Amino acid sequence: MLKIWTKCYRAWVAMLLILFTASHANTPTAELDIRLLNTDPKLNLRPEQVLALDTFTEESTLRQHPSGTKWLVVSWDKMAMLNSRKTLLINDYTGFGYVNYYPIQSGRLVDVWLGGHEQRVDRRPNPDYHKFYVDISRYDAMLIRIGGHASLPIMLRLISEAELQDMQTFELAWYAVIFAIIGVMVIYNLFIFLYLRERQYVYYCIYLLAQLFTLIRLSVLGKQYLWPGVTQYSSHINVFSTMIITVTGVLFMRAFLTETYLSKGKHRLMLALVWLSVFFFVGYLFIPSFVSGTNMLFVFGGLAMVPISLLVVYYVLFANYRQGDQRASVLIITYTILNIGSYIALFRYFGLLPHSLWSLHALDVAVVLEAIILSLALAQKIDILRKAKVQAERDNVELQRHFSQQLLSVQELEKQELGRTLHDDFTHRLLVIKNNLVQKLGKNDAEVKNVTDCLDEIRHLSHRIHPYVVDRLGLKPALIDLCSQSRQSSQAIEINYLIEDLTLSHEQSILIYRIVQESLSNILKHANATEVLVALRKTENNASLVIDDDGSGFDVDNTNGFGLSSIKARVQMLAGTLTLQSNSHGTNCQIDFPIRVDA
Amino acid sequence: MKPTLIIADDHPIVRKGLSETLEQSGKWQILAEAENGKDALALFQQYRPDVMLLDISMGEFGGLEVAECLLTDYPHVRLVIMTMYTNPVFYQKAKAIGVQGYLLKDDSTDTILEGLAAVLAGKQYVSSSLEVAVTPDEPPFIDPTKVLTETELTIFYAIAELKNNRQIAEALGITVKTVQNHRYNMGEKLELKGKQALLSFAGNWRKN
Repeated sequence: MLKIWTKCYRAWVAMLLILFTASHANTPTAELDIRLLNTDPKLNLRPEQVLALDTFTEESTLRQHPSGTKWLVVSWDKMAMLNSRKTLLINDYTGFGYVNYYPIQSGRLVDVWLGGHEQRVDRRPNPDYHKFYVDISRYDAMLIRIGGHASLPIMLRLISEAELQDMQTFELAWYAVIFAIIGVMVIYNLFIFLYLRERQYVYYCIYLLAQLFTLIRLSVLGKQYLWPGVTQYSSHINVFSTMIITVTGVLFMRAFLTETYLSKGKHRLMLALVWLSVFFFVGYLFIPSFVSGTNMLFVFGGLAMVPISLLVVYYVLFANYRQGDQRASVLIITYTILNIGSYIALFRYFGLLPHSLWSLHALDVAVVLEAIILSLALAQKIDILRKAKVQAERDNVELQRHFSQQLLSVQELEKQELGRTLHDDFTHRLLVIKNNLVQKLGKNDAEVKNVTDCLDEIRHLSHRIHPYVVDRLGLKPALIDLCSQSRQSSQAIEINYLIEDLTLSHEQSILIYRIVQESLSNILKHANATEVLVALRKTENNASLVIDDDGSGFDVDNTNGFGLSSIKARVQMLAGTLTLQSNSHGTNCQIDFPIRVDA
Repeated sequence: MKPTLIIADDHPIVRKGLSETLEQSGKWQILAEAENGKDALALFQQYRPDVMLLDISMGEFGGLEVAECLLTDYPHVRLVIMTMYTNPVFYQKAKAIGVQGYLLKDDSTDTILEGLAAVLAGKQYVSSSLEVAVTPDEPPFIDPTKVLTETELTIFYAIAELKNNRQIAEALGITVKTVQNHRYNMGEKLELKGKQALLSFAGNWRKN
């Protein structure tokens, strides 16, 4: 795997070298024909400054002249001829271009300043101004001045209105898709952050937003549509967004990688390099450019940091990859993609690559690819975490279930103990007291009556607390007793039963008894039933308990009263399944469970 | 010579009070007292009393279990259950095993003496304070396939399948009222009183 990567990396470097030399060879080096044809006093054209007259064709690439600002004058005749194409598209990557319009003696002139000029050398390049559309049909003459200090090529192209419209439509559609994808990725990762609360997603979102912002500026769409009124603003913003991309990129990388495998010293060195590039950025931003020399120091320092940080990032990534950190491979892929895109864009600016559709959009594609791949990788993590969360919830439910079952078991034991004590101990003591009282006071004394009532109450209470009939006689008589008692307590309901004599463990018997007790109590209280059927039968392999009533029913899914939940818990303790059907005509509750016998 | 008696009860005070009362009455001779079921069996072997007075709740091996053991080996033994349990199911169980007497611990001395005397004389005796429902006699067995009509038989099987009136009515496309009429007629034909009896009969029929 590693070998493949190194090979890919080498291939990439080789490809860049080939592209570099190829595009360099294509650059026209021949001096342009200098010929003075016309002068206008208002323009103050000096013959030696006129670079060329009428050499302008429908598509030209101009470069700054080594000896200072040169002027290109397009003749009146030529203008009339060119007017059929109407729009002049200018790509000035120096960021120093601007356009002036004014009348001269012989008509209206469009004066295009490109590559910067003497009066405004302190202006910083602004990518928002690298693209102009000039409607030349409104002018009689054109003057193109090329100068300043930038050495980037300037592209001029005349296009028809239809071409212009096609171009703009395509551009809009293209960037709409690109920006939409990045926007979706940002929202997506924000949601993941809200879900997981992990910092890496915030870094990644800021990183993506900064990338998005840079793309908007580089495509000049911001100036065209988003902030058209802003004609002049600091190019600091450009450097600033680059800095944010770098810092959040590094922070994200650190959080994204599972672990850092670098030694402490190397790790510190890496961090120092990152902070050094930040320093250059900040210096470039805030040290005024009129302090001569310092500005260039920061510019070249910052530029030097580019290949250094490239190497540093690859070093860290490969170090992690060698230690088996799979996430490093994702970063290697995305970082490489982003670099290819960036360098294609950069080489195009410097005129080292032809100005074509693919070179124009390489960076957009790279950023989108990076965003998608990284988001997918991040999504993998959320998947892992979601699974862990689901498992934890399941464990929690299991724990709760276990707990409630334990609680029920313990409760049942306690009730048994309490019921037995009440019945066997207290009643007997009261009985002795009663007998003594009878002997002393006679049968019909009020005290004796009191004790007798007390005795009866304790007997009833103990029976309610623990069904000792199950202990003594087994489940069948106990259930029959339960049914007949319920029948007595509510004359309006007819309770029928069909109970087979099954051999069940004591625990199961008590569970079944409690389920029937709870169900009958619910039916008597809420169901408004006239007929109830309780059946306990042996099925092929298991046993089945059916409790059926013709009452008003209830919403099976939305009822979670204590009664039903305790029945559910007991069904689970029986290792059985509960089938509950209910409608306005009645409720059928069937519990199938495997028979267990006491050892 | 006075009739002999063994008392089995796990409560010493109850045993003591009871034996004193009976001794004082001068009608019974208490041979021994047992505090659990096993002792009761052993003491029976040893003394062969005329009547055994057994409590139901004496740990795992209680009065009913003792009674079952004794009646298996000595069918003519006279047994009286004396218990705190007022629930008639216990009486029914005791009766089913073959115990002749069923007394409650809060019965008066007179009742106890009366009950013991009755059992000694070979009669059945139940404490008057026990509300014993009159258990219906076993219904005569009538083969439903011979007396019921086809529709009734369908309903009969449906009853055995635990279907309620509404379900049966829906399945047969008749009214609930008609099903009720059929049930009534079936009860008459099979000589079963009430819905419960018909249900039990149908359920058992299915099983057999």
